[in-house]
Amino acid sequence: MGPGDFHAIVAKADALNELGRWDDALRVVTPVLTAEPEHLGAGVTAGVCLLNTGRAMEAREVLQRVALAHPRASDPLRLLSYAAVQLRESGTAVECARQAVELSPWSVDTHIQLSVALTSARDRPAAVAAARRAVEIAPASAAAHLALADALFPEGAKPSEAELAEAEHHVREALVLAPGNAIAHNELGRIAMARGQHFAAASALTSAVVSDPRQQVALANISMVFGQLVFRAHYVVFVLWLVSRFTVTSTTVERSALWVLEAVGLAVLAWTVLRLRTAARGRTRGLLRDFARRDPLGAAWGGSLAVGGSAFLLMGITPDPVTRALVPFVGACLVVGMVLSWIRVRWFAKRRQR
Amino acid sequence: MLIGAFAAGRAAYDHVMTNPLIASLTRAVEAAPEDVALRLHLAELLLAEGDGDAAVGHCAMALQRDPGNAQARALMGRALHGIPDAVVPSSEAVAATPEGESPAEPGATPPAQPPVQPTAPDAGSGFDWAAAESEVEGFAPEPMFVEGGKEEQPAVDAWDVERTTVRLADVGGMTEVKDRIITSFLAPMQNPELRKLYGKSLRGGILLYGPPGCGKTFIGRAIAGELGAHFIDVGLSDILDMYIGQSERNLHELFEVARRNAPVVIFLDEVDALGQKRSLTRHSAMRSTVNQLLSELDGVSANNEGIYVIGATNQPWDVDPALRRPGRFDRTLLVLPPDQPAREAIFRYHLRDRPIEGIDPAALAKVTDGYSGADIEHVCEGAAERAMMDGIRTGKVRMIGMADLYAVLREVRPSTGPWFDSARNVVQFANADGTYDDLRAYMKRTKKL
Ligand SMILES: Nc1ncnc2c1ncn2[C@@H]1O[C@H](COP(=O)(O)OP(=O)(O)OP(=O)(O)O)[C@@H](O)[C@H]1O
Ligand SMILES: [Mg+2]
Repeated sequence: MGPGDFHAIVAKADALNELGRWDDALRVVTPVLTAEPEHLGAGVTAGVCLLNTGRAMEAREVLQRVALAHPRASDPLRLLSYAAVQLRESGTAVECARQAVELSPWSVDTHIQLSVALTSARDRPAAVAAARRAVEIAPASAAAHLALADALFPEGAKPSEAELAEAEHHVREALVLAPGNAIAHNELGRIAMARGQHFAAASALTSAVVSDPRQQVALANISMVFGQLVFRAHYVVFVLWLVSRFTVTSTTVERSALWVLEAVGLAVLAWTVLRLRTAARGRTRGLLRDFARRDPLGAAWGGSLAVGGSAFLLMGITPDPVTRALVPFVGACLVVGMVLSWIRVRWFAKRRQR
Repeated sequence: MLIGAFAAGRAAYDHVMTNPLIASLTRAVEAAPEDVALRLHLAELLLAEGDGDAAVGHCAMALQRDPGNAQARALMGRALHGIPDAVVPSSEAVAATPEGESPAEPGATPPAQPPVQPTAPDAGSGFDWAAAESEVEGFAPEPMFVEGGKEEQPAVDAWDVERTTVRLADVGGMTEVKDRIITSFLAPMQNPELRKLYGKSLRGGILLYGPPGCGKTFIGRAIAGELGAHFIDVGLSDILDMYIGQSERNLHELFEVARRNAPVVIFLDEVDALGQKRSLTRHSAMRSTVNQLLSELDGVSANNEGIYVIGATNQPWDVDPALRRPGRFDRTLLVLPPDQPAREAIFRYHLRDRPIEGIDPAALAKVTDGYSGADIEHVCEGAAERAMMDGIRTGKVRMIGMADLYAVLREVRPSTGPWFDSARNVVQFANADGTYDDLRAYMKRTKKL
């Protein structure tokens, strides 16, 4: 095995990386690194494998060695920055990315990484500037547009409508360049969620799931949208029920007023179902099942609301004594839902801590 | 030192592949894995050829079966220190050792065991030397020079063309899959009259898909066996070589070799590696490899009579859509985890050469629902190891019993779970065209959906 072979082996591992077969790639490239621990191509390739399989510590070890041996190469530094982001060392991440940019000022990838590092350091303006530079350098790179969108609207941020609009523009740009890209569809979904447009979000996220069904992020986001819809439904049922208590007293049941309330409830229900079905394009059942798996408490909350809501609709056609009995029953369902939602919030908080 | 060892090992490896004695001994050892003397003889030869790694492997296996074997230990010591044997001379192995490269690092301690003379396997080793020799005779060396006009044909095919003896009858259980293979593939192949009557063409290959380790390759071999055809196994590494273009093992060469050896089954394992559906950057070399494969499949450049292409993949959803159009891999066949009769057959198969006692394969099959063929293989190996370790501890050799298998089964979980996890989402959200209907039906039936 000589340098010529090394080259071929690294090329093979790179091809495997491109296919997303990180473990296979690592297996292929390891002998080269064993023979020549400072081999640039092998180190970079192994770094990519390790970073993509969540082994940032090991990646850092390999990349540091290679970076020291090749001080003019930007790739090891760029990947070191990526590793530092994964290890939550944002200062190091920014520093490494800056050095990489200095070495390769015309590479889109280094600017994208700088933007990612700055985002992890919560320096939004600088992150946006770095991503803008990436788009300037390579306006035909979908990845650059997505990076800019991400810098404008990073996870957990509360961006302004102007920022959201610009982010959306760049995501759409990316979708033109890479049609059917699942990540871009997911971004559109996030943007719609931030605007409170549940059905638009569900639609974009469904597109993301359809184009790459194994991507978990989009499914998790849809699950969040469903959770928000359940919350909204709870609110609607609660208000209707509250008002209906004035129409059902111990002496009289004002049917016509009750029917009006129920008509409003039915209309809201029909509208919701219709829009959801349009958004999910025949995958409603699968998505609901997935929601129940991811967020069982949210699904249970939704279930208690469904029971309460049905009971509320029945109130209009049942004899007076039953109608009277149904009022507290619906209230009980609402209380159960509230308790479930409270446990759910606690559960989510605990899970986030872990 | 390390690099030197690598270089030597590699140069010698090429040699080993062409050494017929080693080839036939390897086969003999595969057929009689328990034969320690035979294995050590092979290790000796491998070491002499400079293939220390393979020698170490065989020594380790010999020591597993016979931990006290002094010869095995000595040989292992030598193999680990890269000391080739002096008994079997091999000019190539010597030549492959780089100049100035001493076998041991300067200052390193010398090997603990002094090199001992290998003892030739005794007559009682159970190995049929006469048969081996007659087999070796069959390997007529290629002429060193060929007459003009033939030079386009390489002396040795870059692709290994196998003869397989596996038949569909050897595939345990799985009647559904076998029936579909017969009706949609074998019957039209074997009945040209029928084909003519219905105007059915032979174009197009079959794509086997399913969770890992459940018998796709095995079934591919069985199909070749049924057709009385040769078998060329094209793995992931070969596919990568194609688009790196580093070796002569390219696609065109593959189909040329296949045409020379028709009838032949070309088994393209992991076809998903050929193209990728959803990456931001499409590798242009990959693209052109796919295009070339398509044109070879379509047979535009040459006559494809007698060439059957079978693809296999664990990730059918990543297969380049262009490969799935009519006339290509247009028929898909789902190969699921083995059913009960299949599991029984697999247990029988993997226990057949092992010392067993009171084994009830049917009972084992009953409790291994969801296990893949590879899982079962793993279980059998684990049970053998358990019995062996017991023997070493107590100093009394004992047979593999049901208790061993049950003990290992408690620890080994079916490995197909993650595959079905990703399949679930695909079936639920990306099956609008019904491609995965049979997978969906299976998952519904087994409550995986
Ligand atoms: N029905 C069967 N009858 C007998 N043996 C079987 C059967 N199914 C699988 N096996 C055995 O299971 C093992 C694994 O099978 P095989 O290698 O063909 O799986 P595969 O689907 O090609 O796996 P991979 O996806 O990892 O390539 C083999 O040793 C094979 O002999
Ligand atoms: Mg296989």
